[in-house]
Amino acid sequence: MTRVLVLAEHRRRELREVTLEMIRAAEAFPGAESTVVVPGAAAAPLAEALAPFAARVLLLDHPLLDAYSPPEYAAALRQVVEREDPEVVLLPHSYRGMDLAGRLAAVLHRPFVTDAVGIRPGDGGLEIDRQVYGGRVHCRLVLPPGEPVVLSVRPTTFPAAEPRGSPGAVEAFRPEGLPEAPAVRFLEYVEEAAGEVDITQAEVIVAAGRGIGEEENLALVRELADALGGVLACSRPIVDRGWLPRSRQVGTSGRAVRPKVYVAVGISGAFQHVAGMAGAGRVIAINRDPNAPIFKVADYGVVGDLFRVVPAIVEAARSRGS
Amino acid sequence: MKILVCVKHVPEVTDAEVEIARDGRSIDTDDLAFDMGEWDACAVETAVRLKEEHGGEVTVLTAGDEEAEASLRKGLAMGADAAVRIAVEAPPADPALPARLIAAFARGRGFDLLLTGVMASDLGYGATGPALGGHLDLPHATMIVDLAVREGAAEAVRELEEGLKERIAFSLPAVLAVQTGLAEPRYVSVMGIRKARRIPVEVLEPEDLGTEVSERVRLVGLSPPPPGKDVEILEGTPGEIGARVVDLVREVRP
Ligand SMILES: Cc1cc2nc3c(=O)[nH]c(=O)nc-3n(C[C@H](O)[C@H](O)[C@H](O)COP(=O)(O)OP(=O)(O)OC[C@H]3O[C@@H](n4cnc5c(N)ncnc54)[C@H](O)[C@@H]3O)c2cc1C
Repeated sequence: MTRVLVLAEHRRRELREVTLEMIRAAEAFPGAESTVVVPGAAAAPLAEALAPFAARVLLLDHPLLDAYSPPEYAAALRQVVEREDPEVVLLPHSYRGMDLAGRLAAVLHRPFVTDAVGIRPGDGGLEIDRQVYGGRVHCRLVLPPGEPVVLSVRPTTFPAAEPRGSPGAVEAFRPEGLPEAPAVRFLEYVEEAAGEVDITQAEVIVAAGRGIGEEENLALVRELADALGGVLACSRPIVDRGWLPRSRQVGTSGRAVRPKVYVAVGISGAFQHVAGMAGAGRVIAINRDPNAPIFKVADYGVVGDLFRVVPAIVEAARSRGS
Repeated sequence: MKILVCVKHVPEVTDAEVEIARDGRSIDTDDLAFDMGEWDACAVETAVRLKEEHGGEVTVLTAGDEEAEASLRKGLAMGADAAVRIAVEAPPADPALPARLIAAFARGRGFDLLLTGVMASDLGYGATGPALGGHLDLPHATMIVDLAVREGAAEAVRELEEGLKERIAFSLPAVLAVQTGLAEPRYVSVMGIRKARRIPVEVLEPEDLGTEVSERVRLVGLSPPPPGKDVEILEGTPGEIGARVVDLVREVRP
């Protein structure tokens, strides 16, 4: 039997899909007995909504936890951990999970690993798979046997949990001694200004990455997009440098797109980028590095210098008319 | 304002041949170029700009081997005033270790702001900033893309998924993990490099800080990544490849 505490994630009064993935991930532990922890007094309806998916749901019934502040979240979870004594605290490697995992482990004095893409419990300790060096190397780690751990798991590693036969019990727990005001105060959400094009609606996307080198080379990729009747998009460094607006960025911190064709030009294939193009139909990658991780998610690849390959495609498209 | 910036010296692996060493537990670094982490460089830039705006002092710190001092030199050349290296063999596999060492150094030294990058490109745990906040019992925030500091407090914008952001407020001292895009790192000038050469790097052993190097997470081994999709690599002359790509696009979207 393994007691697993799964931290639920919600935003704007809606559960985030990763919560169900983490409930599913917990099943990787032998004889898992999962308790899903739902922070915030206002999250009571969400705790109810999770009951069909978990044996037990624990609402952290405190208004201070309605908005996220790491010190108070960690303090409240410490009280839960002291009460429940779980062998594993499981959370998603989402933005929230990334923000919390290290702090929680430090506060709990428990060993931890973030961003796991594989979990193998064993007698010699919990074995974890991770991707390192930008996804170019696979890494196996082991956590000390017999010690309780904190673990964050990469979103989309596990499918969402299915409803169980009978709904689980929902209990409430009110953490004590939390301060009057949070140390990190939420003020407001800031929405991204709508872009001049909506890349999420595009059927063909041609995306430029840092491989283009200079801003002026963006013209070349734009030309390819035009020639293929597609929309120009990009990876994050192109936006960070101010070459294109954020509304053109594909990835976890940009947009999730589902075009019929996605052409990646000079993009290495970091998971934060790939997460945004997972819904694409046909993926064609152009990169001079045959080991670039983008080729692991592409259907077709061109290994070569984009400054030669892209003009050749433009030329072919033009000579055939459109 | 007293600012500490934690940086990591990492190999540049994009567009490079990354080979697993014979021991199966490390990568061959002989042919790799190393530099300060991309996110860390944004953190240094942020610190130097804050100093230029508000006055104060910037210390760059790394927990690493002697080679890692190159990234400290870069930090100094960018405008930091002091550099500290906590001597460890890089890079530890345990994500808890760097934060524990840095906390042992920072405790009681009166830093108003402790900055890290969101993550390092080598192991990518993204945990040092948050863990540091936990050890020092200070407020922390990650994914910072905008920051305004005034009298003992700050307002920041942190990025969330799917283009959403949130504005937050907290008092100083605080720990912040900087996201790329907050401040484009400056190019280091020849003058900056020359000035940096005159500043000594203070080297501290973990024992000097009343702590030790111990890891609870153990590396079992490294291997090539598992195979992905069955990608078909297009071969031929540029003209043939060009025509093939056009066909592949028009097949699904005539
Ligand atoms: C919290 C967080 C959120 C993030 N969100 C996003 C996001 O939403 N979207 C996103 O894209 N990234 C995101 N990132 C950043 C991500 O980790 C990568 O840093 C980024 O995706 C890299 O972009 P790139 O592939 O364009 O650049 P690089 O990784 O630098 O790759 C450039 C590629 O171009 C190739 N190349 C170079 N020259 C040529 C040439 N002449 N011909 C052909 N190929 C060439 C190289 O081989 C290399 O593969 C995020 C990171 C974090 C930490």
